[in-house]
Amino acid sequence: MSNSNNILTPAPVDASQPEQLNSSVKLPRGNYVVRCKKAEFQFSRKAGNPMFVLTWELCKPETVRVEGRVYSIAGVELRKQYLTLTPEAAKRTFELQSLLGLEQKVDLDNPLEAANKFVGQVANAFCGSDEYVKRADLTDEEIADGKTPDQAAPITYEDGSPVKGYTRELLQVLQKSSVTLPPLTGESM
Amino acid sequence: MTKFRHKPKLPYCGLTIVLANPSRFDTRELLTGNAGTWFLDTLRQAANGKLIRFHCDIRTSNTRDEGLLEGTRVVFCLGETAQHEWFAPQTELKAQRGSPHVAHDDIIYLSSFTPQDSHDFQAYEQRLNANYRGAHDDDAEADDSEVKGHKGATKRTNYKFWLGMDTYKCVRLLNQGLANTGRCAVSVYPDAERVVSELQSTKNSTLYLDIETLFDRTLTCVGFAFEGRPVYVFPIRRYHGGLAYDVLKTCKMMAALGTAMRDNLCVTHNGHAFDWLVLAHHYRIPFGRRLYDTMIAQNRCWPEAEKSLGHCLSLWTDEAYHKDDGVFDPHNTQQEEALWNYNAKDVHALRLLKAAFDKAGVDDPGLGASIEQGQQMIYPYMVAALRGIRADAAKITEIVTENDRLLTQYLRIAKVLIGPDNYAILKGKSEAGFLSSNKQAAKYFYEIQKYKCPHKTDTGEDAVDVKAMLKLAIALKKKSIENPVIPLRLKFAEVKKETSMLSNLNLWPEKAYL
Repeated sequence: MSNSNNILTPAPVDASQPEQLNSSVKLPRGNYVVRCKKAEFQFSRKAGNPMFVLTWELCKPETVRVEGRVYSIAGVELRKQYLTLTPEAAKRTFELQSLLGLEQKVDLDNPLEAANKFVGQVANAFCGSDEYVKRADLTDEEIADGKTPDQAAPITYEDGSPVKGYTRELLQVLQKSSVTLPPLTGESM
Repeated sequence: MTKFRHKPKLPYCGLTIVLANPSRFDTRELLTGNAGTWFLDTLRQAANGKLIRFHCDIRTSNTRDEGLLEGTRVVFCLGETAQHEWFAPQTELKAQRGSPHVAHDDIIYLSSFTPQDSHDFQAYEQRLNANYRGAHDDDAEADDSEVKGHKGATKRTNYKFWLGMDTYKCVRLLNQGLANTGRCAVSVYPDAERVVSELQSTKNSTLYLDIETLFDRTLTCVGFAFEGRPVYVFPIRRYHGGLAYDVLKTCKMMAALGTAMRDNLCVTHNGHAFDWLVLAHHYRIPFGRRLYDTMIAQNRCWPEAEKSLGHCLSLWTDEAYHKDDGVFDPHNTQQEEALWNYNAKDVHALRLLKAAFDKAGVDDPGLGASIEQGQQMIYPYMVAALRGIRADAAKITEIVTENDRLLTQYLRIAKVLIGPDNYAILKGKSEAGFLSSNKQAAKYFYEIQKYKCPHKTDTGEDAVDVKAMLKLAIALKKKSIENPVIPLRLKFAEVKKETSMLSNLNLWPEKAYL
């Protein structure tokens, strides 16, 4: 006879508490207060171009309502923002610096100075979600055929509809925010 | 083995990072995966966010024939193979790491553990990395311990700490170079009169002391220095077994040493367990009341880190590694000179360490108070160890007698609880057998009662230690089973331990303490 202590059952859901946002929930398009959590300097893998890689996190509102359910979004990281630092593409970086009230300048011999200035900046931004189809790993035959991961077979439900996921994206930084947030904790840049 | 080299894409900072081998995650570039990222983050933090991988020349050890870039100031070798191939072929990584070596071209070489090794709980690199070609003595131990039932995890616990500290040191050396500690004047085998004069004439200063002995605690030499004075090393026993000075002079020097320890703050490393203890117990040279042990100070600063003098030196100073210089049982003049020089370096090191701990204490007053409190404990503990503890002997006898009665009752109860049949099976030579014998207890719990053993011992046998008993009790409780023999056995062990401790207590040589 099995002991009742060994049987697991789902914990009762507290409807008053928000759930954590996950990849199956779409972040509604709208204005959010975001903060730059991390700014890295890298070289792009393919072209070798220098670039800044910024990581933004959602700060306000702290919760959103999606299809009747409340999700906690404070602290959720957005997809990394890549700012290429070639003469042709650096315009985006300068625009962002201008919006945030930073000096429009990047010293490519010492790029960390400019990168560090992004960290902790708070902005009003237009954010949303990008939909994608979840796919299986490539088989050995598919790799041999030269297929790329985005050409792999989609994962589907029984009715044939694909399993979808959502990435959270920063679509456009609008302006420097007047909202005051507590300082970043832990390591940043 | 695969060759990797990432030359700096940003202006070169002068730091070359050499890895013994690419980690098992480094398929396209070096320093990837969690470990590589952590290392690069640590490097960046150490440089206040001003140093990233693109400022450095990052390469595997087998690219040495390609030479160093112009402007190289520090070469940071990660992994034993890298250290052996680049600057210190004879020394083990665990000994050499963290101690800078200056090459003839003034480039500073420093070694430490690889980031991947410092993150892995076991020797995964050794087993899973086709590129691995290093050799760590403790990896073999970890593997053995796995066979025996250990997870071998603790062996590597501090690798990450030491790599992190060495990385900070590396960045400091890159920016500031070696700390200038000044030259240390050393007087080896001086005249006995000079030693006596130095020891007797200095009062209220700091005496740095280190002794060297044979395995049987026979003194070979004594090194000492006062603040701002040269280091003196006077030998006691020569390599041929004879005394270095005549008996009278030797006695005068030892007496003067006792006076100096009384009149000054005496600083040693591990003196509470060795130097002062040996001098007092074997040679009747009393220590003073003002004692300072740098090992205790290190323990207060980094409670979980290693505390040997070598580790302390690598952590707090820029001194070169010297702990393999000494020959502790010399058989010729050359070897004994090596020993005396080694002893002098230890004394000099004490001076540097004390200064570093003092500075740490000033920077962090709480830490300073903690170090001070630790030092104050040395004298009473040592006196208790050497002379005994003041205690009420009558009270001790009373407790021991009561405990003996209790133990007898526990045995009676155990006999009743396990039943006559089982008792007959288990009964050994001793009456107390079942409650004190691990073998009999294991037989009772795991063979007769058929309980599931919570864990194995180091030798792979069923464990019946306190932890195992508590785990077993919890597991049984979940099944609504309660076996009173378990708490009985725990209580028996507790009372027996107390009795044993009190019976062997080294009491202060007085009739009683009231």
